[in-house]
Amino acid sequence: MLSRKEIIFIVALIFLPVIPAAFISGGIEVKEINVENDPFRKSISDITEEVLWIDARDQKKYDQKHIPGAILIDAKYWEDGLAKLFEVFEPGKTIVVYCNAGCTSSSSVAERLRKELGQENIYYLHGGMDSWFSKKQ
Amino acid sequence: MVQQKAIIVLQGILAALFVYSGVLKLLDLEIFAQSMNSYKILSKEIIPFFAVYVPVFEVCLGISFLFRAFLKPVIICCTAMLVVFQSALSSLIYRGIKIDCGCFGKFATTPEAALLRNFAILATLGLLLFLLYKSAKLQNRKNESQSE
Repeated sequence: MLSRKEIIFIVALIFLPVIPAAFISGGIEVKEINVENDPFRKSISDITEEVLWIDARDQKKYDQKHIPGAILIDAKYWEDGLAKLFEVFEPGKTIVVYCNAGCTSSSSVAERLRKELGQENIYYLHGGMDSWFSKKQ
Repeated sequence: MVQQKAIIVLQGILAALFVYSGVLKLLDLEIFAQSMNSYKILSKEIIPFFAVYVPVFEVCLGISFLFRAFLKPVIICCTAMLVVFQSALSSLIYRGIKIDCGCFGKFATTPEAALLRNFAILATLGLLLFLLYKSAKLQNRKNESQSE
């Protein structure tokens, strides 16, 4: 059984975070992202044309496995990735960014590329890299 | 002696883990709030409150692990929090929602991987509780033999 001291400690532990939460939470904005209707999200079955693949993970994961021909753009080394992209970049060609299933870096990299390249047909892959490999099998 | 060392090591690991997890979330509260929103469990109005509450609670738990006197209540609080997390993750898997769990800030983890990791943390908490129980029993025996 718990002693009186321990019960007081638990109550204090539960209520202590209420203070910063009450003060800071006002500044946090929760944006409603409806992924289901996101026009920039593509499923592997939607990709029928030849596209330029961008891998939005890190170097280590890229070295382990990646879609053949994919260019690595790790957001941490943005300029390096962009330089590699420009070596093969064809204006107007559809670009699809991927990462692992469940990650969010592909959508943010795709959004950043749309802004920097001024091109709209840059999408991110729903289901991540695994969906591509599952389709190939 | 070995037991005492094992308890200290486990205390250290759990303290570091909870402080690290809490600090990573605190560094980008907007991202954590967004992750919580993707679970589609809490309403948008109360998400900002819990987006601050959860990481601060984790940091407090992590720091509390360093105090031997309060290990038992800290283990109880951690277990309760992890049970809530496991329920939320299980509901994600059940509903087929594939998102980053938001457990370690920007470092993406799938709900399945997070579920397994939390089971490992729960097992570690169980082991720590077991070692504490055994250590207390040993101490009682020592005290009894000394008094005799």
